[in-house]
Amino acid sequence: MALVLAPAALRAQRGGSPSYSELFVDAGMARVRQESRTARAPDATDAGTLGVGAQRVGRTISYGGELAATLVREPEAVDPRTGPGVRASPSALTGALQAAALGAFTPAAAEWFRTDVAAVGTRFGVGLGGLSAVGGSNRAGLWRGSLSRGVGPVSGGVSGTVAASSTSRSNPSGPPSADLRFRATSTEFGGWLSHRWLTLSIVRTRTLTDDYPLVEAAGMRLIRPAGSYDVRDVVVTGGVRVQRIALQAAFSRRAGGSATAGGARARNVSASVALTRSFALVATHGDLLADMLRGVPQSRMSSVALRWRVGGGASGGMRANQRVLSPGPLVEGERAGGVRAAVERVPAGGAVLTIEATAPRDAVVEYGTSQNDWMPTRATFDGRVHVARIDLPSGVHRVSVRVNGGTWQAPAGLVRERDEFGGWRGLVVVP
Amino acid sequence: MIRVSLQPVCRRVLAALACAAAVVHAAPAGAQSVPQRSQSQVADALEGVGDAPVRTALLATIESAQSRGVPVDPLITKVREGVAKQSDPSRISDAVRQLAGRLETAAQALAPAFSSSEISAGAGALQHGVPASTLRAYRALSPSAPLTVPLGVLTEMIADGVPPKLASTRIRELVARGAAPALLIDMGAKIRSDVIRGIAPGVALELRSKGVISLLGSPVSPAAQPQLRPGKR
Repeated sequence: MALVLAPAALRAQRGGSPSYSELFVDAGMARVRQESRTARAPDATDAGTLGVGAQRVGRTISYGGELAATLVREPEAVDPRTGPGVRASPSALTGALQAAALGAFTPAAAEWFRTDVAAVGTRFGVGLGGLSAVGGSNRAGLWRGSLSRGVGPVSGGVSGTVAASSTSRSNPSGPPSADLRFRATSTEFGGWLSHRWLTLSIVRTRTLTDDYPLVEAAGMRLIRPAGSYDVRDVVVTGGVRVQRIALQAAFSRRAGGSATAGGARARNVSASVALTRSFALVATHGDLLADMLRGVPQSRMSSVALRWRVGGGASGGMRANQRVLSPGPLVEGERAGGVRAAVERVPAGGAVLTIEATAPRDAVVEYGTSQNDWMPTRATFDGRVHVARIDLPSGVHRVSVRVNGGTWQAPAGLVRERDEFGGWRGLVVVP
Repeated sequence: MIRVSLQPVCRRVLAALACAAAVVHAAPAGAQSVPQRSQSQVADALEGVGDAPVRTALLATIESAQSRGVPVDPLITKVREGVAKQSDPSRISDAVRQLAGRLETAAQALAPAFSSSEISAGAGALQHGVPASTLRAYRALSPSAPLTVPLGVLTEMIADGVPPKLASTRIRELVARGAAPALLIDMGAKIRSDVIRGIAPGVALELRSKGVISLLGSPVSPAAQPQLRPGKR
């Protein structure tokens, strides 16, 4: 079974970022090559992928859901000696269906903290046209807590995740004893750092599982009796995001711990290009280590998908492809990197407030201040960022910024306060 | 639904503003003349509120505030803020009504106020939980110098997480020692940096305020302060 994509379900929005709702549809193709040691030979599988999801991203509560389907033609049988393997058995047109729900909560009084919960259910080996294959299901859930901070253009944070899953596999053509259930638990800890267009993250994950077909297919084994495999991963990810293009590269190193021997390395790259505000093209290529939580085997994958979105916030179609469950890139903080402000005093009196917003060239960045009677005034694009310079006289001033008509927000770098209208504004005191 | 055309509303606004000068004179003794909006600005501000009954209610709030000596400018600015932020008209009305109440309280506590911006700064502090008695205490300490910046910095600190009582006390000490506005603003910025770095807001204030106090002399008695006249900032 080649479950290849679980596209984005939700993207984090830290404090001050706009609230929005959106519907998105991902459609694409993928070529998957599974290096299974239980197979006679590696094979390449073409898969069609389709995902439909909706999400609501708010200041305090965000939630979303997605249905994803993968359609695969499996040309070869697995070695019958392994019993129920991780791949489809007969040559068949099979599919996988996945439903994911994700919620996130950020307390209004402590926006540096965010907690996420997610639940994913997958049914794979769904026979089509009267054909059936090795089937099964996977249920997984996770809880993640993350702390983030932003100082000027720099933001960073740490995150801890606890996840658990249960995978069952069955072979309709085999004996009842062939039905097996496996469990996995995972703990993850990591951190990320972002400066303007650059983001780096490192994540360390430890997974304990008894899913022997999956682990041994990935080339790992027990060197002495033990209750579970101990799989330890380190994933380093770097990403850049300039204008309409986002690039990301990840390097993963896997090693066995305790009684588990063996290991693996993987490299993959992805890119997304916002073609228009509604359409984005997402491409990925590289190795995927076996995902113990979701019961997905190790593979090499190349895929391309077109994302169409309706609604949404200022980030346009630049949402990167993210997997719902770890291992994967940490959720990055966005507040500091989005809209920021700096105040410079003028010797003759008053001050100049400079607002900078990182947004696509064609974005509409507007500011309003108590000084200009909240008249929405457009910032100018200087080739790199949207900039506005505002002369402020002595006194206490309020300022808010919005991007593409989204929620008014307080620029990073200023003290924030809630306004009376459901948004935020920054405070500026000028001597 | 009661339909009220805009024109009568605007006429009432203009009529209300016609007596603005008299109202300003009725304001707390010594208050600076509050620059009033042009008639078209006020009309424009109210025109942005889509709901006619709400416009009527807003006008009543503004007229009532004027009759009590409350500066109109911040109220009009609040209307414009609500309109710009595409807020529900009833929410705009609530915000303006509450602001009018805070402005009146601040004007009374800060009397004789120096400017509408000082009263606005006082209203901002009240919104963040500072009691009116604190404003009165500040005015008693600084009868001859505007409190706009101290109140603004106080508001910033509370918004940054400093406990209101602690922030009020420390700012009062600094005002009593004659801390310059720029010094207070710098202190506020340093506290904000400390908070971002993870220091508890209250601890950051204690540390930074001690540093500032060490630069200042003994508390200045109100009688010894230079007698600036209101409006001579």
